[in-house]
Amino acid sequence: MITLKGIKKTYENKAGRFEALKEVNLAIQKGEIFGFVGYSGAGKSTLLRLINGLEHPTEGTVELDDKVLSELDKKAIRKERQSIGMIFQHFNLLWSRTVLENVMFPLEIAKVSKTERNRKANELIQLVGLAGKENSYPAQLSGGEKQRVGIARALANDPKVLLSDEATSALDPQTTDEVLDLLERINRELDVTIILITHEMEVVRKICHRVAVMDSGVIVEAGSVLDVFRHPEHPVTRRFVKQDREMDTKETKEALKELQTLYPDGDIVQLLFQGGSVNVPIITQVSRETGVDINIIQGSMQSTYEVPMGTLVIQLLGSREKRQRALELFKTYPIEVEVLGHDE
Amino acid sequence: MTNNLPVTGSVFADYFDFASISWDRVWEATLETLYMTSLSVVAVFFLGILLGLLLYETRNSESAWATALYKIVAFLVNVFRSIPFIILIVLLIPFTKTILDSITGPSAGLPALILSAAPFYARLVESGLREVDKGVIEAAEAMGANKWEVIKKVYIPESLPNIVAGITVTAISLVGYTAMAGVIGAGGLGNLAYLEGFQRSRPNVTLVSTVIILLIVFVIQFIGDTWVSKIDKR
Repeated sequence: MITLKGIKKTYENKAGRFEALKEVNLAIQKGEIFGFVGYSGAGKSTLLRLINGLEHPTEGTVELDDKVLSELDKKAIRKERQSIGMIFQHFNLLWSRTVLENVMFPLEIAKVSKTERNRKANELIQLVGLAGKENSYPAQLSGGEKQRVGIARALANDPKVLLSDEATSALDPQTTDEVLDLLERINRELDVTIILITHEMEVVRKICHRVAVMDSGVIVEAGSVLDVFRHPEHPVTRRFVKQDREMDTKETKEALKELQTLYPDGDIVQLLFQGGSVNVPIITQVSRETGVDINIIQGSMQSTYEVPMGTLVIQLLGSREKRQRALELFKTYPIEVEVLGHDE
Repeated sequence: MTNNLPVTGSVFADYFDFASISWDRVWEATLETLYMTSLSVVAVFFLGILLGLLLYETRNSESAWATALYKIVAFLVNVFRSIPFIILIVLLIPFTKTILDSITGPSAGLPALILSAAPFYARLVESGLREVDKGVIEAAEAMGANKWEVIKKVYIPESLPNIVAGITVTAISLVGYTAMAGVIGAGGLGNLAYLEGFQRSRPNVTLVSTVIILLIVFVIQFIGDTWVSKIDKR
């Protein structure tokens, strides 16, 4: 649906040249939620703005369906933008307009009749769960509510594509989840392709189907979200995946220390499960067959668009031979095993 | 004249001798002041917004034409803002004579009033436009809005409190300028205070003129403040 071919973007000013994008090739399918993840300055924002023609590539082409964006004149690009919604980190609502008037804004630009504007805007306000707030001003709303207005506004002209520029970065974790749920629902029910950029791997994990990891103007890794999470190849990707688990690991480390002092003679092991890949009661089987005692320290689940991923931290107690055998047995199952601490 | 030699005790009596005031003259002068103020405020409001938009849009533009235009307009704005009003009004006498065919009466003050206040207001409008959130502009452009739609639907409404507060300040200085416009025979309360109050030593007339001018200023300030607080939903 969207094809980026040989995209390069260079900014030139008095201070010198800056290559925001070096060589980007990518195809985004209709109906998917595609995430770009990267640190600030990686070129994600520029890339997003190339898709709606707010920026133009120095080299290469952006194709939308069968149209080449750079071949269109200004007027045609403006017309094209009406079918591409965009939401922003800081919402970018007009403070001078009520919720209803904000949602009607793009409809005014598209020259929709007044009665139709009203009908459509009210329908969208219902959809995003803001019924009753039609006549409130943005200043009277919470961050999550403002982003819902932003989403309703972006959907006003029935777009084919929704671009999300760090839409949840200014929101607290709970509100982030609510907004992500809403985006997922929009993708499913309205069949809107969503392209989002973020620096939070959590966002990618929760709703994206595919992801591209960006660093210094290039895509360093791309693929299905589960694959990227399972086998992160590039160091930047590894950092992102690790950062997503950071909170868990911190708590684990403290628990680890405590347990190592409480039970100085154990092995502490982390098991990583992927979804329904394991259909056998591993813990009990290993315990029964090798005679080690297993103490569960911590367990957590992380949901992805496809399947959930689980982490389990356990303590193995018993003689060294038994523990060794238990570890080997664990490795025969389709799970990842990592020894976090020994008693030696 | 009974008070060529003011004595202690009679000073206040001179100020408050309202019986001898020709209220018809005062009323006429008040109307002249209101006429000059309101017409110049309306003209300055539209001219200032246009100039402010022009300054804002051409500033830092990539096109050489726009940059040249910005430099010319900015230069003129700075020149007219810097000329002391009393000099500007005298300087413009031949110009006023050409376009109005007269250099006396309240209308004669208008060219100078507008030319000195419009650049001042244009700068206020420009700085108001600069305060509009760039993200909102980007959002409007991302929706496919063209330049004119962005100006009409984003810049103007989003900077309206600044635009209104700016015209309030400008209107108040215009009231002050109308008083000076009296020197070229434009009439008004300033003229009345000068001719009757000063040259004929009648402090009661000066006091009445002062009070009326203060009332006009207070009313303008009140209207401006009320309007701003009504439209400002930030």
